[in-house]
Amino acid sequence: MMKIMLRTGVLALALVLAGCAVPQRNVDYSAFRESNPASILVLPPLNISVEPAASAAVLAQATYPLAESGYYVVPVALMEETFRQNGLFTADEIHAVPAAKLREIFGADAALYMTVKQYGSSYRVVTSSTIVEIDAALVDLRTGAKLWDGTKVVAQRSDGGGGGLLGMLVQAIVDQVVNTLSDRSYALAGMADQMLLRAGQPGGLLYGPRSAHYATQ
Amino acid sequence: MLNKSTAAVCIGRVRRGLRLLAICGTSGALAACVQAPKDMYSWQAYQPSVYAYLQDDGADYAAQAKALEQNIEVARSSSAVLPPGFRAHLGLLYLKMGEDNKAVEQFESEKIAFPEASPFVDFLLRNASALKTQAKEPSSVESLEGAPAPGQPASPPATKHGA
Repeated sequence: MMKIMLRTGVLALALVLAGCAVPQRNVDYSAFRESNPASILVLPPLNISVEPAASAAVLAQATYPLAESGYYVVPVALMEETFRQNGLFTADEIHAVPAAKLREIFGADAALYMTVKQYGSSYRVVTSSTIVEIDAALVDLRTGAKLWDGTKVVAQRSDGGGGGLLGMLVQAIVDQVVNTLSDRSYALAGMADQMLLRAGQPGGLLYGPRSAHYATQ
Repeated sequence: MLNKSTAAVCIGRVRRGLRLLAICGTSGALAACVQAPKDMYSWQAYQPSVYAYLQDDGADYAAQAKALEQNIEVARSSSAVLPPGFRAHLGLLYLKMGEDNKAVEQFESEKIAFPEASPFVDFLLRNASALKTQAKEPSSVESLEGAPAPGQPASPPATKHGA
């Protein structure tokens, strides 16, 4: 029993650390630097998880890390409302809109295409845990060139305090992020957004023009 | 590398005895990774309000607008800067409430605070009447840009959103 707990703990820790210290992949930032985007349009994420609310939770909380990284982020609800007015109701339809058209309407330099791959309770990685997994790609709307992509998985044990290192660890962070909404998955989605989209981490986005770190990178 | 709030969480958990070390140690490592220094913007209810709007759960636009109005006061009193999208979102809520003038005011102030917003805001101002027609509470206020009020015959066919 002890052995199993220990093994789970090690696995869990490895999972977190893997999400944190991104294995050094050689990211080519030349296109990103050349594009030098100042504004980002975050499109409604594709959702291949089983939870319908996943898209809204991930979309609503993507503005924070991007804006704090120095970018202007197109107002999210207005963006979705605009697509609705034009008869586009699903993320699939919206992701198929040509870059030039998005540029024409929203005036953004780049668009963020996200996919929510897992959201909510899952039994795949760690037994009985809440998991959020997101893929993202940043595309220049003036040229259509891909500037960056990344992926992030965050997990939280759902059995409270006794649940191993990962549970305690994520719990501590989640508690301080959002207390206004009781939805744990929502809080975890916000964490995943932050860990994926905050500039300044290995393999992460570059800082945008509004950040104090912009000139120093 | 522990930031203030992380430290506070850790201190608050002193009662948990031995676990403390593990939590502080590892969350410190994670904080170094997530890195949350002092925010550039005063976020407050913006993202939760966007979430409520996206959920379309019968949210009360007036209540949300009121919360954001209070946020503006809080930000003003501490000389904090409102984040990108905040003013435009409040403008959208006003539009849904039929308060066109207040909506336009917010859209314009989004542009002043963030010139990057100009193309989209200008697009919105040209098309604001269309956004309004889907308001849950139809209003009799005149449409923006002098467009014909909903229900009246318009020169171009105004039935774009069917699907």
